[in-house]
Amino acid sequence: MKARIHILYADQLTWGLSTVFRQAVDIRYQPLYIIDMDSASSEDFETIIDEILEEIPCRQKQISTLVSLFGKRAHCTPGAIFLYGHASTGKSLVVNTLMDKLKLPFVILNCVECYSQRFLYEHILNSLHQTDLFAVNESVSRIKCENMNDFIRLFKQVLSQKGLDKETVYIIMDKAERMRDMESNILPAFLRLQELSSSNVCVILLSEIVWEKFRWGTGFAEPYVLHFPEYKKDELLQILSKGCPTDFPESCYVMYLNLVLSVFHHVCRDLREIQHLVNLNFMKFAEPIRNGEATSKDSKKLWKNIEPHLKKALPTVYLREVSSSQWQRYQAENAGDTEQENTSQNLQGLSHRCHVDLPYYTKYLLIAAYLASYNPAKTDKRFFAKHTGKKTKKISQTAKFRWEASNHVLGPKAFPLDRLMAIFYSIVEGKVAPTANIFMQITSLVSLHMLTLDPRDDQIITPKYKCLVSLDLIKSVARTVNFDVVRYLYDFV
Amino acid sequence: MDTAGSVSKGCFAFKGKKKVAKLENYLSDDEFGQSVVKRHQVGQDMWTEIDTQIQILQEELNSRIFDDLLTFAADSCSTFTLDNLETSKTMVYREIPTAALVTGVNTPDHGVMFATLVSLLKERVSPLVAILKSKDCQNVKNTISKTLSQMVDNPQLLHDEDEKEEELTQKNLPLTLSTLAQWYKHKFKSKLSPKKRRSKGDDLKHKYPPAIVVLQDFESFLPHVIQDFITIASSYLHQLPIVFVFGIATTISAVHSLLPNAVSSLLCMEKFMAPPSSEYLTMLINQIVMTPEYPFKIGARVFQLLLDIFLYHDFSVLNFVKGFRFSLLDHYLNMPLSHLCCPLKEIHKKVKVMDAEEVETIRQLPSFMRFVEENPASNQPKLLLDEKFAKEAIVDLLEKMHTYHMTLFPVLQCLHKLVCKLPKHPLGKQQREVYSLVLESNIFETDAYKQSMELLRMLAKDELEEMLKQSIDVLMEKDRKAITYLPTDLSLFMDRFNTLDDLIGEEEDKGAEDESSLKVIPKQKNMYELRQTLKEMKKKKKKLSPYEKLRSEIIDYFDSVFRKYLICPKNLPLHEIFYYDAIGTVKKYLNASPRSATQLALSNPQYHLQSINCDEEENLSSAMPDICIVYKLHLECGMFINLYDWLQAFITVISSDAEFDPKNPDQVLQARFIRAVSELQFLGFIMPTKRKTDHVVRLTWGNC
Ligand SMILES: Nc1ncnc2c1ncn2[C@@H]1O[C@H](COP(=O)(O)OP(=O)(O)OP(=O)(O)O)[C@@H](O)[C@H]1O
Ligand SMILES: [Mg+2]
Repeated sequence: MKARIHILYADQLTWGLSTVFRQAVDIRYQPLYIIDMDSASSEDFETIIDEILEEIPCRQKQISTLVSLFGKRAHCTPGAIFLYGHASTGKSLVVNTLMDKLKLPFVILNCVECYSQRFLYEHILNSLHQTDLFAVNESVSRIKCENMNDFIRLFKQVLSQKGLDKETVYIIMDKAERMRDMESNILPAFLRLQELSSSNVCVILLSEIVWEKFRWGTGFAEPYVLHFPEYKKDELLQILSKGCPTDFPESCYVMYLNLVLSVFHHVCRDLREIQHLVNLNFMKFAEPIRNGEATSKDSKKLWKNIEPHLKKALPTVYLREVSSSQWQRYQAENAGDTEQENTSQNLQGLSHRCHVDLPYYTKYLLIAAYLASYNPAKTDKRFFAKHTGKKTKKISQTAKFRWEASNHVLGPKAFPLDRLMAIFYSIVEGKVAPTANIFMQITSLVSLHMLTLDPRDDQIITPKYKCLVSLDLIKSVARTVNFDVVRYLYDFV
Repeated sequence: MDTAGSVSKGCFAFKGKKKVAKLENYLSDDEFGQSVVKRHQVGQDMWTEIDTQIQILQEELNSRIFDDLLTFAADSCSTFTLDNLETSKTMVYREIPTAALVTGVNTPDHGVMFATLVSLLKERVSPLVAILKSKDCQNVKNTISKTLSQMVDNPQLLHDEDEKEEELTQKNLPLTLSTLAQWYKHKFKSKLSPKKRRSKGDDLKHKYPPAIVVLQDFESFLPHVIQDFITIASSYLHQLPIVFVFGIATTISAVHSLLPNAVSSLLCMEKFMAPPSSEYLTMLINQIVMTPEYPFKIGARVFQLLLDIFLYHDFSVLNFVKGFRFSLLDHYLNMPLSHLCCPLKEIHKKVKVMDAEEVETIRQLPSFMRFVEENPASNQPKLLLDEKFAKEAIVDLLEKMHTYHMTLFPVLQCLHKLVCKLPKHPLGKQQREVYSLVLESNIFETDAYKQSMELLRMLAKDELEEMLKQSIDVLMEKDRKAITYLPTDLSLFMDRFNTLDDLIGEEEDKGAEDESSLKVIPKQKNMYELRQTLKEMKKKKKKLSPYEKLRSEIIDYFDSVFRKYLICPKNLPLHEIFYYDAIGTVKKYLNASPRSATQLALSNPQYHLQSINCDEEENLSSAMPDICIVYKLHLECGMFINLYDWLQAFITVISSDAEFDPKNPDQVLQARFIRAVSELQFLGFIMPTKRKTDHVVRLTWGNC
């Protein structure tokens, strides 16, 4: 292939060429080097598309739809395209790869980041303009833009300045559902950006939720909607098998993937998560092969080796509490002692989640708060009055049944400070002076998010709190002070 | 327009000039003031010494905790590069490396801990460190701007030739991470040119230092803010090597209650545990309190109080140190002789310059009087009258006190080693518990001690051998010259252990004998006889075994050592000079209970106002301040208090029956009543309510 390289300026360009290659916008601005490839172009285009399809399996339909929507560089595309699908179904991947490989001019922006509309406008304009904030010669100043009107004016200006007005410019908005929370004119305006700016621009919205949830108010131009369905099991397998390490037999890797999927597929279909799990456990799987203890054909032996590990990882799916390197370290430590008990203990330590050590009185405060949150106030007398004899069976079984579990189902209720202290004093052992330290602990429990201050009432004169900890945690706390909390809980009496 | 309302609601803060507190301003010119100045210096010196020791300790400890964390932070981004042009921006990036540092619930200590962490990170890993606290991060914009300002305005990065950096902040840049990313690129990519490279970054391990964001109180961040921040950060991961450090006070599950799966999957967490603060406290007590180095000591009750505050209330080492410092200052302020509580080598000098009055004060000390009484009758008058003789005795006693400390702690540690593994821990698990017993009374007179000695007499051979070894180790430690004969004696015992094996043979036969006598037991008729036989058998057995003989010898030896050295300091003369035990003061300042104080003042005004003389506490009398009367009346009411009834009751108390006219109450009395009621409201006892007209709500019940 022989390519002639010209230095061209916008008005000299012949835009009939469909497959003109140029640098992506984000690379430092230089005069446009246009590679002119009259003859070889269309075949080349085909090979690039094939490459993309090769790289991203299981997304042929979406990719070909998008490619045909984009058309040739100068072709007018739909003003807005809406891509949706669950997390990690490849939305960002497909769009980014297309932009990259086809070398289209584009701006990508994450709507989470746009805490003000100003940021949104300025980000788009400056990326198109390639402002370098820290350039050595400070001749280029940053574009400033406050509102939609200015944005459209400046947008056109920048496009013509940069010679981009002859081809489609793509604005990709990731996490587009956030746009609904911004000023109400932004979403409609971006959907009509092509019309408003009368330039060849295509806004691509990426979101996890369906388009119907975006419609409110008026002035919406309907975008072209494209769905990214979730991957099926065999598709997952196909995608994952691309990650096979080069020095590892492919068939064996597929077997490994099958094993992993068989354990995890019913709890987790998120590609990213499964990928994480696959990477996490691969070392362990490959260990016998590397050691020469087993060959890659020895599927039974390999399965025996890896299964307990996968089963153990099952409860920690999605938690990401352990990085792969730490995980491997743990496994390496355990490699020495083959006892299974030991391993499980170590993993317990890794994720022992319900244990928190609190000062002695704080434990009682927390228990008191829990009791105050989950017991109806009128039962306090029954549980805590010192002199009344045990009247436990006073409430008839039927009446109790109506209440049964309801307090724990309904969640914690707010209680005033004096009730908390009253319960605290009746459960704590020994005489405790109501010192400032005790009250400070209440505040520190609030800052640890174990209690929360009810915002509705006056927070100074009559503060009300809620207890946020779980029954499991309170049980484990109560156990450390030998307090049988369940005996005091109305729901369980 | 009426502007008064708005003025009264305004609240303006003026920063006053910072006043430096000077000692002279607080002291009168009289003699007391003079003597305080003298003691102040000694106390200050002592504190400076202790404080440096604490700092050293803290640094050691922290660097140990953070070592792993620092390596993690340094390694996690070592592969990051901006040079690779082929890495397109769309390339899929990994998760953000995140260190979850579980710190424990002692929030007061966290400030210091994180300050050290940040300085260590800056020193060893990367100059780009930002520390975020939840109170500064109420929205995403603030969070980003905090991050940005801390990283960009970094004096460490400004030292080189170009002044551009300074302009940077003035340029009014947009507060986004993309600004930071561009700045980063500009800053560090330009180092590609070798000319610039040499000027800086020699101390940096990598060419691209990670940008570390430390979130100090992770739990308190608003969920949506932190979620957005992480999401944004992850989208810049290819331009900016970000590393997070989450400071988590409770458990790692806090992360999941704050972050949904979509966000937490952007992270790659590694968990680090800070050791529990009780461990740190133990270390501190061992090095600061239980050491002969610092003559100032806290007494049993204060020690126990400080420990209680730690264990029962806050787990805060910082507060413990504060309490210790408070005790020290109070001791030097209020104990007239405390300037004698000084390092050993200064004693002579200090005693020499003492005037007659001071010597007299010493003679008044109860412990000194006891000492005089114990002296032979010939010495007694000399001690009391002859200043020179008394001074000599004082020097002697003070020096003895130092030697006492020198020997006390090794022996104490030795005892701790012996008893810490006993079943049920009669003397506690921690050395500080043993120490606390020693402070309180002669430990060898307590039941717990006797019980442990009994238990020790039943130890198996290998256990005893192990303990013996440990004790020798403890006594041989560093510069403990005070009692050199102890380890040698113990080593002798050790040797005898080794020769013991030869005697085992004889043992066998006797064991058989024992068994035969065991068979006799069932024949016994009643419990009493049975017990008798068993006792006898025990005795017989004891006599029989050479090991047991040795064992009892060893334990007896230990016992005598403990009796000699572990004397309660309270029994020593002049202990008042070294030991601070004013528990009332410490309690008042460190474990105050404001509510009780208010209630005491209100219900018992004569406690503060001596002018009032009402004998019985409960009685109401018109002599009391109005607010006290109102307070006492309100105690008898229920949830709601009718103001009118209250007023009537108030008037009844104030005025004698003759003047009382319910139809036409005195205006002055009404005004006084209203003032008292509003004072009570100000103190938080009552509150107006809308639920019932003419009523107020009571807010307090009993003690809470
Ligand atoms: N078809 C595919 N082939 C190869 N890899 C894929 C494919 N689909 C997804 N992935 C992988 O899954 C990861 C997540 O994909 P991507 O970022 O495109 O998800 P997404 O749909 O944008 O999710 P989100 O809604 O969370 O942004 C990518 O890093 C990519 O490696
Ligand atoms: Mg995406």
